[in-house]
Amino acid sequence: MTPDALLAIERLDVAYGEIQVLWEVDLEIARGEVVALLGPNGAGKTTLLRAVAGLLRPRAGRIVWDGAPLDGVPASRVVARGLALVPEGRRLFAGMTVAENLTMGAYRRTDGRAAVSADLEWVFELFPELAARRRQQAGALSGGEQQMCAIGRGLMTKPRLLMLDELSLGLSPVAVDRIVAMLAAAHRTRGMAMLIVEQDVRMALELARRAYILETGRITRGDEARRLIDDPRVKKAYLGL
Amino acid sequence: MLVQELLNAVLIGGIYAAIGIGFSLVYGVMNLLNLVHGAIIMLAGYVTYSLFARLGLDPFLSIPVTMGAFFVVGYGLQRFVINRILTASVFMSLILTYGIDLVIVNIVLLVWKTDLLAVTPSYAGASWAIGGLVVSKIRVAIFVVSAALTALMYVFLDGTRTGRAIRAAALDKEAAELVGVDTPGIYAVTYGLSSALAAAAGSMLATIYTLTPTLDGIYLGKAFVVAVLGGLGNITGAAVGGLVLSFAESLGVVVLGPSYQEIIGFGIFLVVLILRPYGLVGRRFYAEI
Amino acid sequence: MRFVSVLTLAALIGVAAAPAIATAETRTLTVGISISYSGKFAKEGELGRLGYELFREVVNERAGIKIGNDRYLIEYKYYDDKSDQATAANLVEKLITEDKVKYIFGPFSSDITFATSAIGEKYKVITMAALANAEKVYTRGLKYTFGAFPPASEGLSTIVQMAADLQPKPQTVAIVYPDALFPFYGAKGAKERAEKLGMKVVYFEKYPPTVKDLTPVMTQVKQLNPDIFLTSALLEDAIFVTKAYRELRINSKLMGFTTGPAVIDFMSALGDTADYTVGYAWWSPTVRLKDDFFGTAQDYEARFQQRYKQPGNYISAAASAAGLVLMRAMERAGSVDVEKVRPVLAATDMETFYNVIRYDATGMNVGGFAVLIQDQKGKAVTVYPPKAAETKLLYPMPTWDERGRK
Repeated sequence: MTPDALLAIERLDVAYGEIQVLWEVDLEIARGEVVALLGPNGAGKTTLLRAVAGLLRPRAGRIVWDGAPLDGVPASRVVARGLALVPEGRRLFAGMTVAENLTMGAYRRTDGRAAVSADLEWVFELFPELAARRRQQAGALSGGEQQMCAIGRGLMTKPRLLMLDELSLGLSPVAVDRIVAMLAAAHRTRGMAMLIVEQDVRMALELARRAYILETGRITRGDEARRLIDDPRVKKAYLGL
Repeated sequence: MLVQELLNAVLIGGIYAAIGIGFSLVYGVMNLLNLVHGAIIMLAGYVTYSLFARLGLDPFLSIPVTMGAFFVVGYGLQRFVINRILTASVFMSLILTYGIDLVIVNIVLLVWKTDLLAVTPSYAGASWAIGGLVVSKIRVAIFVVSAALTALMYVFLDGTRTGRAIRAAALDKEAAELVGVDTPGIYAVTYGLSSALAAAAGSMLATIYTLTPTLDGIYLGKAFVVAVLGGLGNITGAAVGGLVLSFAESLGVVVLGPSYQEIIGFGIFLVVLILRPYGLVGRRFYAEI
Repeated sequence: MRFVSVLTLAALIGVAAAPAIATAETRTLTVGISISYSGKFAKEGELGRLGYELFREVVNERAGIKIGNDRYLIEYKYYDDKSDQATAANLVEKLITEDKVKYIFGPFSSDITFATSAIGEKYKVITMAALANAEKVYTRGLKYTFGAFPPASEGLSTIVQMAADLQPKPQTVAIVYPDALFPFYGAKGAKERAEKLGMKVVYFEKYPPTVKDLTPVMTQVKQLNPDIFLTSALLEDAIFVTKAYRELRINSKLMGFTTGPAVIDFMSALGDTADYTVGYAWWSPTVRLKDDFFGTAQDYEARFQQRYKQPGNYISAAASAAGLVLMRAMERAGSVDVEKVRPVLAATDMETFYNVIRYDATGMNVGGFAVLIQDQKGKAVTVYPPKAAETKLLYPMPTWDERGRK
């Protein structure tokens, strides 16, 4: 384990009741690092994110965040420590306006109203589409806009690690490109670490410096992104080449 | 005289709204059919009676007292009891809340016995006579207070940090937790608020209804109908539901006769339940206030 | 052989001695009572129990009922029927089949008694249906059921009877009642009496028994502005009817109830709004009636007050009187055997502190009369019939404008 890792997961076992999904998962993310988590459907990628976010309680192993244990901390307190999850399927508060959704992201922040509204303006700058629809109900947005709103809500938590689960799912390639560009921009200005779970492996590897491959509940590889892109096995399995 | 009937219906609608609003809130936020609701209204009525009979406290002035006390009771009940079974089956939560209802009924029987009690401040039963119309002072006061409480509730849910957290928890529990909402705590606050609203209704209704240990079922029935008519979980809907039920009852009496006071209300209730399960007040997204 | 003779002799002596031992025996007669501790009749059930209890206490402090050579102490086996008909029927069946009682003291309300008396009948067990008087309970050809309240239809109609002689003579009558047995018979009796006496019944309507706010119905009553407004219902309804009557400022000349004005809860719940309302009771401490067990009505009242720290009431009195009637029948029959007691009981015609009790062929008490009670300045006073009246009826009721001016 790297001593100054932002997030270090060690030998993590996670189960839903009797059904074990993750076995002895090791994973590390350094400060400001962008990491992709790849793997086929049902491998346990979402489960891993949910365990880190505090929605699931691991059966064994450790999650260390910034030098302190994180396992067993409930989701509502995990986010206060600087980890945000943008969940699969957006999970916006459909009956609330865009502005309210974004404001909810800052629910746990204690750094003052001014900082929060500055961040809100920053998110609106990042996603001008949202600024135009700030008083609309989030449920009425298009798929791409909803994803922007979900990312914006994640950013509003002022994360040091932003975890994104399947952000391209159901979106047009144009929308995906736009969101990826904005994420890259956000990363440049804020420098937060990111953990990206993606079906769109090419997109993930463009953003990420490193990547892990998770297959049937175990990490089978972890390497530099460009080396994985060039790996014939990865190419065949995940890039369809 | 039809004007008199309409006027009565509006005023009774305010009473029904007061009964239904807290019930609807709890259902909307945590999908809990809270069978304790009627018992809390009843118990608050008895507390109001004792404050009035022992200390001479005006029932309307006892509203803040009962609201505060029942907020605490409701908060504790949810935090330490109901939260534990919220993830279990609906059946479990029905059994638990029914059990709590029975406990409250027995507390009432123990403390206040089965005597029929009434809170009778000097203005009880007094009316204004305006051009052939008769307007009960207490009913107007109840209408005004319940309208004010509904408005306050709306403003609270719409405009405050905790209010938004309640709505967020109602819309998507997990997503709310992911932005830092402590849902068990928010549920406790919600249940506390619902109990406080029930207590306000109980304090006021003690001046109209006669207190008996069987009122819990009557109140719960009305709360359920009102909440379903307005759309379960919809605060402003509860106000509409209250008025619809009250008009249906008056209409039943005028058109079909006194034996049909409740038939039309329940008829509309059933039709709404089947055709518009989200209530008469349209909503695009679940748990809009 | 001698040994056998001795044994035989001993046996003979034993047999001969046995009745001698039995002569002084004190036995226990267990009476089953399934009555409301909870539910909507909890209050009335409690009053009924007080009456039954008082009877038992007096019997037992006088060393029991003397029947033949034996003395019987009374013991009760109680169950809570939760004010529910089906529950009551089950409990009575349990009392008879499991607790083996031969005598039942009845529950409150005609509806519940309607169910329980049928069970008693099935097992040939005597039911003293002290607290039920809807005709329908009795007109089913029951042989083992005996009442104490006079017929339901007699109560409100006594108010109508009194009104016929008042000046100015009331012309119109409105009657409301919840949809249940006892209220219906009371309402029907009043309607028939009013029509017979030449009054016009302008409103005769039932409302659902679950209703707690009668404003819509009372608004209709206000439009008709009847001279007499009658409610045939139990206490809770009487209170909310009176509240609506005041809120809507209805001004009738006479307002009458089945239950209410005579009950302390009615007055404490309504304060001065209760004034001028008229109710009837099958009993009042002021009636000039007596028996050789409880004494006069005043004696009973005194004992009741001393024992329970509250004024007596007609429900408790009826319950006590039912016990007395059964006791006298057993004494006369010289047996506790149901088949021996039943014909004697059916032939009852006696004055009690409570009322005259005389059974018709159906077991209903047709010997009684109602006393009318009016609330005057927070006190319930007897105003009718003349032989029981403490004071004069205040008539017509002042209007709400007049009452407001005071």
